[in-house]
Amino acid sequence: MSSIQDSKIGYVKDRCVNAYWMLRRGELGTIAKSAGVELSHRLAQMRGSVHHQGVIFFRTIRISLQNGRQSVTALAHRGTGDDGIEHVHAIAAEVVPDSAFINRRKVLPASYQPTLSRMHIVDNLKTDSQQLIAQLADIRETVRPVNV
Amino acid sequence: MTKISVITVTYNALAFLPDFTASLLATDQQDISLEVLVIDNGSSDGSAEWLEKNHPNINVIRNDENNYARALNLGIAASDGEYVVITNNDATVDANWLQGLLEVISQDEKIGAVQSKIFFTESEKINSVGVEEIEHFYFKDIGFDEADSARYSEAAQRDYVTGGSVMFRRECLDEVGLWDEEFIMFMEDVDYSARARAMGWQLWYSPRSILYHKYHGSTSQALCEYFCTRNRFLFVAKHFPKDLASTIPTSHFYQKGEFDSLYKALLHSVRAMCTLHDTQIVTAVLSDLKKAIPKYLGDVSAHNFFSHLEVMLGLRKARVGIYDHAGHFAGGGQRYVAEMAALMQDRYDVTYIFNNDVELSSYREWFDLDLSRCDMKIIRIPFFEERERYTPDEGMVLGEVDNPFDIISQDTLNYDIFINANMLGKVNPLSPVSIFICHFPDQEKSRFFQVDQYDHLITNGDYTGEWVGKRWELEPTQKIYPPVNMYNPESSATKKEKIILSVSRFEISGSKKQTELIQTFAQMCRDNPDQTQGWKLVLIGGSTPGNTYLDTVREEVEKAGCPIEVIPNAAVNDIKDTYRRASIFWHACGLNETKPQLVEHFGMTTVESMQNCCVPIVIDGGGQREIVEHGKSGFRFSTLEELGVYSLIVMEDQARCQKMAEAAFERSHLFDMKVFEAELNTLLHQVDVALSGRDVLPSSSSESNSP
Repeated sequence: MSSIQDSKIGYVKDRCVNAYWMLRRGELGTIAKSAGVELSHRLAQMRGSVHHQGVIFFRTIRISLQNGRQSVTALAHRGTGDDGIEHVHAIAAEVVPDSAFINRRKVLPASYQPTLSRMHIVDNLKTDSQQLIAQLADIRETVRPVNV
Repeated sequence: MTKISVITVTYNALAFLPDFTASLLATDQQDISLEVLVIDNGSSDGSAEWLEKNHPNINVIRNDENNYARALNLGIAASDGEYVVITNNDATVDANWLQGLLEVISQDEKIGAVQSKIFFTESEKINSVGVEEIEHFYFKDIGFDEADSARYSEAAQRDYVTGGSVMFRRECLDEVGLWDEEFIMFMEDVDYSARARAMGWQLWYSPRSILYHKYHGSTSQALCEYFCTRNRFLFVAKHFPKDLASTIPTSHFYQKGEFDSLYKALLHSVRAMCTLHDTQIVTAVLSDLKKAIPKYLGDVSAHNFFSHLEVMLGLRKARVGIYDHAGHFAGGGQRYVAEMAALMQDRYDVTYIFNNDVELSSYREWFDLDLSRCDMKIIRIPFFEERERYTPDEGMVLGEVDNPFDIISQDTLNYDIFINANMLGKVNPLSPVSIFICHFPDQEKSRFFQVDQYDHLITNGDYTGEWVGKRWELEPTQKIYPPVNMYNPESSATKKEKIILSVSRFEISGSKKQTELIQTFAQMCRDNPDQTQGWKLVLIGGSTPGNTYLDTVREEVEKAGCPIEVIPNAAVNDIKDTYRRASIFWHACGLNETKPQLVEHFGMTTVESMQNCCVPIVIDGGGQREIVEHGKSGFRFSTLEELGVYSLIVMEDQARCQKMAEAAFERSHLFDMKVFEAELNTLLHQVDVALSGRDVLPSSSSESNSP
């Protein structure tokens, strides 16, 4: 990806090319209009940025309220078992929208991983391949989750 | 004379080498012929150079990989001593270091290895007088952090010895074989000890051989803990496979919630097990893991684990699922992914997933692509069927409790690699590897946003990448420009006609700005009749029946009263021929637009024109900025006035026009099929190593994962 510095240098370069050709052709009115368009774009970008910050702000509020609701619900469900120990009923992930605990494959943030991966020539297996294929296919179907 | 080879592995340990080498050379070498080999694991601190300069008698071997076990193998292969001593070098040795080892090893021919008494440099407490298992395949150094005492003053037999300072009999090394490089570092000595004892060799400890060790001199605590935890599984899989499942809950990875490390470590250890053990043992262990892994890793990871294992063991090709909710359109996004599928269909088993009836054979007609080796599947989404929405629109998913796209997520379990081809950010990928292709992030993050779950986020250019950062706060992992192939060997910068060409769909919204182009051309003809004499404007593009915008365009042409041709739905050969003949190419999508999604994200037709030696004069926005170098391989404009001015510059000056056309042609190579294939191969290589690769430590120079 091009760096921010490359983008800035490119921008200045393009403005110089523009200025060169417009001045050479005596197109002063065109220069003025282009400057106006540029200014208008910048203002639109600033407005967009403010809107985006607003969206993030209200999303943060919503998530905080949801989390608060979860805590209150958890408190309301606390009960005492016969052994006198208080048991907290776990909230099922299904009722918590956008919960981080909904069945996902990827762990975020990722764990400490000091290694990279490099291509590996498949080893000669001592185990019988056909039996392995059959067993793994069977296991896969057995452990396959239904309705994630 | 007894020949002894001393081998030490170094990695950025220059600070320790002077003291180490000085003590080594000062140790009692009576009746000993000593050779010293240092294996450098890619140090960047000048360790190798320092040794070569200051100790020319030391044999310095450069390891091509930062792998401690591999380094040992290199050193042992290059040595020829009757005895081989492996030692740390963030250490100094005592005067009797070698003699102490020799004394014990020469007592009995069955003794295969003898380790030293190792002290910490700083505290003078014991680092190691042997290695023992403490509980459930966790090992520790005997005497660790204890003060020296009488109980460690006699030579004694051990179950395991540390590689920190150990002498091996050459015959033992020859019989046991190579050190297992899969360990990389840590516990490779425990593994070797187990192997040696299994072959009848004895392991001993010598109190008279002393080494002072700067603990964790060249490795961090985090690295040590990671490899010890990882390698524990490997050790168990090799030597005690039936205990593998039971080691999961006591693993530090599990206890610290590092499930991705746990998953990976288990995969590699099972692979090692399958190369060493027969079917009966492996079958039994897999049955145990079938019960254990869902319990500790969850159902989804468990399913992926066994599926992933099939690919890792080379039992089948990887399965790829490509989901395109708009596969019935013949658009640029569809072409982009179809080109990928065409390149992937022999390497993997590819299945295309659609929500509606699509014939893959249509892709041959639309894109001239043969996808006959791909399978196809249709999954209808009830949420959109009920609302009679033909093309799923994730913007319609607002207050639902359940994610309507979970039906697609469920299907991702069938694949090793899932490719979300068309920016549906609410599809949760559950396959082992996932790729999200973003042509432009049209929508802000909202409920059920899942794009951060993907392993790879591919964009079609820097413009899209920039907006992925702004809208989704994510960083793309790779940029792959769309493949453009409109080369025509008959196209030439010198054989052009007076044609200005524009190729864009006649969108009902008017977003491609054909009416504005017509108005600009008409103005140019009025104001510059001499310069525009003989020129015509040709507008080509796709259109659907009943397109009211096309009617508007035709009305503008009538009003303009100058040579303009409008050709909707032109045949591919006619488009190619017009590219060949046209001198100038116009593109104005994004003119006066402030919404970023309405600006041309890339500009495939611009590249097509450049491949045919047209001079592109295009909007200064979106992806066009990446394609056209302003003033060199074309021009970019902000206003229609600038469009007119730049067009006249090119029209008036034949030499300039030709020079720019040639520059445009050269520039177009950056976006052609070869570049696309190369970038795709880079991505697929990363995917393949994720599925089947082995672990390596990065070298001190920047590590590359490219093929």
